Amino acid sequence: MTMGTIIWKEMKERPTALIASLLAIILSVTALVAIRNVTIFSEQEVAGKLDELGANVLILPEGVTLQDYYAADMHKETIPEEHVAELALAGLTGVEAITPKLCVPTKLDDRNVILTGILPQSEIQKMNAWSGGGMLFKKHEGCKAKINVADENLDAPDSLAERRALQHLNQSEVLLGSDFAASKGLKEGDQLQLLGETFEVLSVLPSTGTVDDSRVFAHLHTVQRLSGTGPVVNIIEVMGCCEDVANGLVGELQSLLPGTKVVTIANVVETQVSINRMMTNLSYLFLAILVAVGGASMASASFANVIERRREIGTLMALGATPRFVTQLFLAKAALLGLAGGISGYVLGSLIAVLLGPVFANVSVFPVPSLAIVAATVAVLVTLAASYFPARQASRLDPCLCFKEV
Amino acid sequence: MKSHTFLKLFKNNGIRLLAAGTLLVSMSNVSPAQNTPRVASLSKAEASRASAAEQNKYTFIMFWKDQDTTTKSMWSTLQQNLSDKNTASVVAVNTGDPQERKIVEQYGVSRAPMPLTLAVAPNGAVTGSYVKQINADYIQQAFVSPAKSRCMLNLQNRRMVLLCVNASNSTGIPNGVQNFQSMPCYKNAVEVITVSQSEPTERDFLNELRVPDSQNSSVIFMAPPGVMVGKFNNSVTSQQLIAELKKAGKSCGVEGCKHCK
Repeated sequence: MTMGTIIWKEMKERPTALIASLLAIILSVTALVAIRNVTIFSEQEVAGKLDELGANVLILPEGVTLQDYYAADMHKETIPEEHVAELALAGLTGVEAITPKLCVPTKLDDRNVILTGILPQSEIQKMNAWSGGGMLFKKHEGCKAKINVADENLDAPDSLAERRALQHLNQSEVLLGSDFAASKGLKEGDQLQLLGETFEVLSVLPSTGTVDDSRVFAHLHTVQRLSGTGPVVNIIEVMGCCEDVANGLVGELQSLLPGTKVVTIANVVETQVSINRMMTNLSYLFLAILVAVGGASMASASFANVIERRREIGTLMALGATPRFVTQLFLAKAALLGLAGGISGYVLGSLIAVLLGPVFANVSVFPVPSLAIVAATVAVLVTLAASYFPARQASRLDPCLCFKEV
Repeated sequence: MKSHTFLKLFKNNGIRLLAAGTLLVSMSNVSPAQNTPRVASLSKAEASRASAAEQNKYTFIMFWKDQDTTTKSMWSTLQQNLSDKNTASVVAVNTGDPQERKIVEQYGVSRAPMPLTLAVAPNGAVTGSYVKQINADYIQQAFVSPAKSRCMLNLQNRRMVLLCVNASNSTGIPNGVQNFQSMPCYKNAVEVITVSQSEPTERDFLNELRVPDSQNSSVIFMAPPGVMVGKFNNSVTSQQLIAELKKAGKSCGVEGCKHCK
C-alpha cells in the first residue's frame, strides 16, 4: 500500500473531519482572494481615471469641502471671477485650460434644472497668450507648455463633454446635457426659456455618465446677470499637466490666489488610493485572522486524527513504517488539503469578486491568475505548519504502547 | 488759497485729470486719422491706439476701475516713463465707461484684476500685460522688435510661426518650410516670417531665441501660446517639422498632435 492510497483511504473514511478542515482553509483563502481581487481592479480604475483627467486642479472657496463639490458642485460660497484672469495672466507653466463655473438652480416647465455658467476658452486664452511670449524660450519638454493652435475639431461644442472646456459660446446660446435634452425633446437649433431669457441650443452634449448629463450650460456672464450673483464663480477647474502639478503648480496657484482652497484631483484620487491601500491591509488582516483560525482548525483536526489513529499508526510502525514515513504521511495529507483548499478558495473568491465587485466597488473585476499561486502557496504553507506538530507527535508514537492500549 | 483748492482737486481727481490730459495730447496726434469716418466712430482709447499704430508707436492702455492708490501709482509710473518718449502713447480706460465698452470687450478684461496695463505694439500684438504693478524695467521689456511682435501677434491669434532666420548671404524660404506651409491642413494655421540674421534691430530677439550666430540660415518653429517647438537648419524637411509638432502636441495622455490626425 503506497502513501497515496493510505491518504486517500483515510480521507474517504472520515469525510466529516476532512470537510471541516477543508472548509476552514477555503473560507480563509476565499476572503483573501475576493478582497485582493477587488482592490487590484479598484486601483487600476483609479489610475486610469487619473490618467484620463490629466491631474485636474480645483480652486474652491476656502469654506467649501470636497464633499460639497462632489455633491454636484452646488454650494453657496463663491470666489471672485477676477481670479480667472489672474490665473490666465500669470501664464503659469502646465496650465492647459481654466474653466470657471457658477451653478444656479432654476426650473424649466416645472422641472428642476441646474443652469451652469461656463466661460469659453477663447476669452481666457486671449489673456494667457499675452504672457505666451515669456514661454518662447523654453524648449518644449514632456507635457510642459502644451501647444494650442486653432483647431475646428477641438473647438467644437462637443469638446465640453470630453475636455471639460469649451472654445466658443455666445451669450445667448446654451449646451444641453444628454439626459436633459432627451427628457425635454430638445435638439440643436431649438429655443428654450430660462430665467426669463430665450436661449438657442448650440449643441446637445454626448452622454458622460455624470451630473453634467442633466444640466444646461450657458455663458458665465449671462448666468451671473440673470441670477444677480455679480462677477463670482463657485469653482475654477484647472486642467493642469500631470508633470507640472507634481512639480509645484499647486504651490504656485496657492500663492497666487490666497483665500482659496487649491485641491488636485490627484489629492482626491490619493484619498481613494488610501482607501484601496486600507482595503489591502484589511485583506491581510483578514488573512492573518482566518489563517490563524484555519490553521488552528487544521492543527486541532490533525491532533484529533493522530489520537484517533493511534492504533493504526502503531500497526503501521509495527509493520515497518519509519517515523519519517509517518511524518510524511501526515504532512502530505495536510499539503493535499491545503492545495485543494487554496485552489477552491481562489475559484470561489474570484467568483465572488467578479459578481460583487461591480456592485460594491463600482469596478469591473476579472480573475487574477497570479492570485491562484499566492492562494495555493499560502494555504499549503499554513496547513503544513499546522500539521507539523501533530505529524511529529504521530511519528514518535511507540507501537508497543499502542498495542498495549488495545 | 486758489492753489490749495487746485491741489485738492488734483488729489481727488488726479487720474481723471491725467487721463484727460493724455487724451487731449493723443487727440491732437490723431487729428489726421479722424478725418476718415472709420476712425471717427472709434472710442477715445481706440482712436488713441489707432493713431499710435499709424505712427508706428506702442500704446500702453491702463484699464482701471477705482481710483485707488494702486491705480494712481501705476498711472504715475506710466507717465514718468513714457511721457517723454515719442515711441509710445498712454491711455487710461475706465472699464465702467460705456463708451469704452468695445475696447474692454475686445481685450476681455471686464473681470480682470485692476489696474491692468497692456502694452500694444503697432501691429496689435500685446507685448506686455501688467497687473497692479509696473516699473521702468517692465515698460522697457514691452518694446520688442518688429519680427518678435509679428511672431507674438500670430501666436496670440492661435497660429503657428515658422521664423526663417536668413544668413547674410542668403534670402528666401527653405523648401521644407514651403512644403509645410503648402499642406492643406497647415496652410491656415501657420505664418512664415523671414528675418535677416544681420538685422541690428532683431539681434536681441535672435539672442533670446538662441539662434546660432553662424553662416547658415536657420528655422525656428513656434506654436501658440508661446511654445518653442524646435530649431532647425535650412535643410529641414516638412516631415521633420510635422514630427516635432506631433511631439509638442503630446500631453497628459493625449497621443499625437491635434492636427492632421
